[in-house]
Amino acid sequence: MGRYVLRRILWMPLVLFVLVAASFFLIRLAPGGPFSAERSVSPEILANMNAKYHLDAPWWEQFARYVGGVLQGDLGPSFKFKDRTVNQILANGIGPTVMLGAIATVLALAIGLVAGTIGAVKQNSVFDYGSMSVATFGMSVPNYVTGPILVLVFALTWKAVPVSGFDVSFALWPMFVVAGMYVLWRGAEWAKSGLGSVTFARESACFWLLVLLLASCAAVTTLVGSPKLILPSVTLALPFASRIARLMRAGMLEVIGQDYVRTARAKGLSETTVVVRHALKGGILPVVSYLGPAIAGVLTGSLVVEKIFNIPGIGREFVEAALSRDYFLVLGIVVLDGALLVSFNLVVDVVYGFLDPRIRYD
Amino acid sequence: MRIAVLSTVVPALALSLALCCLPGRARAGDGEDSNSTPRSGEALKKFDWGALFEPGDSWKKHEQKLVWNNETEPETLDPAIMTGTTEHNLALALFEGLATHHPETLEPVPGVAEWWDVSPDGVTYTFHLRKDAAWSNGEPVTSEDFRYSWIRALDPVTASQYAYMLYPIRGAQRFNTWHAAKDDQPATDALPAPKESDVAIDVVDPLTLKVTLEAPCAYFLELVSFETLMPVHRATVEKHKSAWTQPEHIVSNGPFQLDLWKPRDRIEMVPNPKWWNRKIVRLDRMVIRAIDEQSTSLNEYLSGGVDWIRSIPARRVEEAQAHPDYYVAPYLGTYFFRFNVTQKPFDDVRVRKAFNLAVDKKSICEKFLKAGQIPATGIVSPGIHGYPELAGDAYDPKRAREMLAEAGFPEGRGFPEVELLYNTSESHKGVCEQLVEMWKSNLGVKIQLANREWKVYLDDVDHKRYQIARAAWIGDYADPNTFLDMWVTDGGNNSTGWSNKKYDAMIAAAAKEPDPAKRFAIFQECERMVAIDELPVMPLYYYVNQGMLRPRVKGWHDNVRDLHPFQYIYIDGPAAESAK
Repeated sequence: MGRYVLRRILWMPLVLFVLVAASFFLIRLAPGGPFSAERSVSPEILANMNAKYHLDAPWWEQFARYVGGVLQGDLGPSFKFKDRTVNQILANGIGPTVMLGAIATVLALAIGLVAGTIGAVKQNSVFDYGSMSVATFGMSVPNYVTGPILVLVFALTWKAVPVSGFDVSFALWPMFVVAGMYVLWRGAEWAKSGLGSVTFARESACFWLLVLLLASCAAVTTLVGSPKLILPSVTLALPFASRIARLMRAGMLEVIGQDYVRTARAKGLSETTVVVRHALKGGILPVVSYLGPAIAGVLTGSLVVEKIFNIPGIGREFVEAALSRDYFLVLGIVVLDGALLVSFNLVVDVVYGFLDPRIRYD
Repeated sequence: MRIAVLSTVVPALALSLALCCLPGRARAGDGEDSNSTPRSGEALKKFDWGALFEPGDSWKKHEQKLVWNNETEPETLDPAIMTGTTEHNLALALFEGLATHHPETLEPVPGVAEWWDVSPDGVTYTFHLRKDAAWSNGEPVTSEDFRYSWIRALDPVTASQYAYMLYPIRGAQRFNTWHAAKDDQPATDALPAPKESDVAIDVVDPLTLKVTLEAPCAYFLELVSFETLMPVHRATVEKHKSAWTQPEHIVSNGPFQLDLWKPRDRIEMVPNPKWWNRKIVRLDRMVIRAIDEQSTSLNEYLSGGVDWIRSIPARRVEEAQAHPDYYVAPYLGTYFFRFNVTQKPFDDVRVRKAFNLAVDKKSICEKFLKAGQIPATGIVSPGIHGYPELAGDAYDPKRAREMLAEAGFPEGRGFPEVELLYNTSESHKGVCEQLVEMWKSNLGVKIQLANREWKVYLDDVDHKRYQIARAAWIGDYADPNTFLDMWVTDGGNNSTGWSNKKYDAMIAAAAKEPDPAKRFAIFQECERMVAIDELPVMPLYYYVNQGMLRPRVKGWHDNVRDLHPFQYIYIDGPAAESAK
């Protein structure tokens, strides 16, 4: 396992290098350059501009210069935003994008996991039909439709939240309250049943519950403290939660029908114990494999949501940089997105090993 | 869609602008035309700032905070390298040139220079700076600051795209282009490399700057108020390099100073306490949003989040027009189509004329665009004082068919496969579809639509890989030349392949013509050639400037370039209800 992880980590730089090299040349194949404009620039002034950014050097020199810079942590200048470097633009954009992505992920997980599990356990109930209808709606209606509808209802008609913008503030104390209640709960249980009965499996299940509770609590307090984030988070979370709910339900249904769950039931365990202790671990696998790329995707920003709500994130930067041929900014975001995707895939593969004992890393 | 395009600057704009008047603001004491600012001499000292204000103090009981949307994130706050209207409006708040813009007419009025002299031959300008002009850190603004800033804008190392704004100054062009030009023709330029001192900007004393031009240039004062010629603070620039415009570093000399810059979200400015005319600034704070999605911008306005938006999304024009705060006014820009005259079938002027006559421009403006755009029969947009609008050929499908038949394509038979090139945009697509439909029903020709991403489209037009191409031109100066000199043979923005020796000669003659009336007559002749006789381009409509402004925002004046000196703006009225 350790060797597997180490090997994967050692491969990362090579994967990223290939990614950078391919992008570096691909973007240059696109017609037009960073300084072409409807009002064409005179050849002498264009030469001055190219010289300033070393675009007049041979391609191999430009590439060596860029890779050299990246190795020293310098992603180069932006051709469009001339007062800022790519590093600064990414630093400015990653905060809002990650903040929004994290809140949406937590909301989606909290809603999706719970709805999917209940839907599977109470298959064909009113709740099942209701939640799956909502999930089908959430997955099939694109966010450029849900976003404006939410704005129309909550920002323009009701005036409950602002239309756009980004400001964050949140309080820490609710998280301390949650953590305190958790400690009280565990303490009371240990006191009741004696320390000898504490099992690793039970405590780790409780721990993950705590993590989900703390994350949800942080997400909710942030939303309460920063109303500008409510609509974009919900817009971003809706399709995400819908997919998680459907995957979770499907995964659970498959597991619940299996022999080891029937055995657990036959042993006379309570339904809650069967679901939480036995079925959940197997049922969550499809969600985990989906989460890796999905979280990486959410953290690299959504063009549509960032545009509709004017979030200063990197999702817009990426698309606009590509359109304006801002070579280094495009490359910088490719490096960042690539690193995120590779890392999350690794995390998913490792988590898989914990959840599914059949998986071997050799 | 607004494209920040700067047109080429050309002689004698100033003459026309000087004739503009300040409506209803007559001032006593001026010897000459009592309605206009003198162009030079000590009389400038009498420039009456008070006349630009509505009197009264009812504004004092309202919060002096203006929130407006600047459409997009500025590319830079460095005046020497900025290029668009987005940046220009910010520069107007942060910096002040020797001259600055009149808020209504945009004519140059005294800025850091209290007054200036022009030599009788029109070649030497002497600027006399105010004693009390100061940077935001308290240091005085001197003539050396301007010399440094202008040389910096010209320095090839700065690589300013608008460096050519300074080319009228003697020695400037060579200083800016010598290194770049040298590679192409090493033998021709035997002279040594140009030095800073070869550029004719002379510091006479700390308050006097003398500038010598290559040749008389009637629009030079327009340039002096342009952002490229605004001053920058040398010590700050040299210390912080490209980061000097960050709020923690910037030193500026305009009516406002930078308080906060959250890229892609907002910029906040507060009055600059050191500005020499601080007493006229009434706003306490400006919040400048960078919302580039027009629909979001309109929603912000409707929810009360912003007080002024500068554009309306095409699909929601009717909704906006129903709102009492909607405004629409002429804007200095023309929407047109280029014909590639180097290829069949558009090498034949009769085909070009047929295509022009077959388009019902009025119907496109009124039934499709619907925002008050004016059908264009000429290429020069209206709003240029003293220049009459050209009445070109009107919609005439019958004559169009005759023209096409004359050219050898009766009822469109035998007409080759032709593509109409446009860049990705829903509204361009709509306009192009209308055209294709009109050409099909009126001429019987079938045109294919060809959609390209922006930079690919620019590349295709530049290399004449098109037959008909959508285009737009926005002028930065209220002068016909801005729309006409681009059509000279091999002009950098001609891109149609059209060439006419007589036209080239007329444009050159206009540049030298001192009499404004005669000069405009030459331009009329030129425009007639482009838009009626030869038609390398087909004008479609003249742009309008539309937006929404709360009635409580006072001191704001619409103008053809959408530039707004913020020192004159204030709030008089209660705030709109908005979500907190």
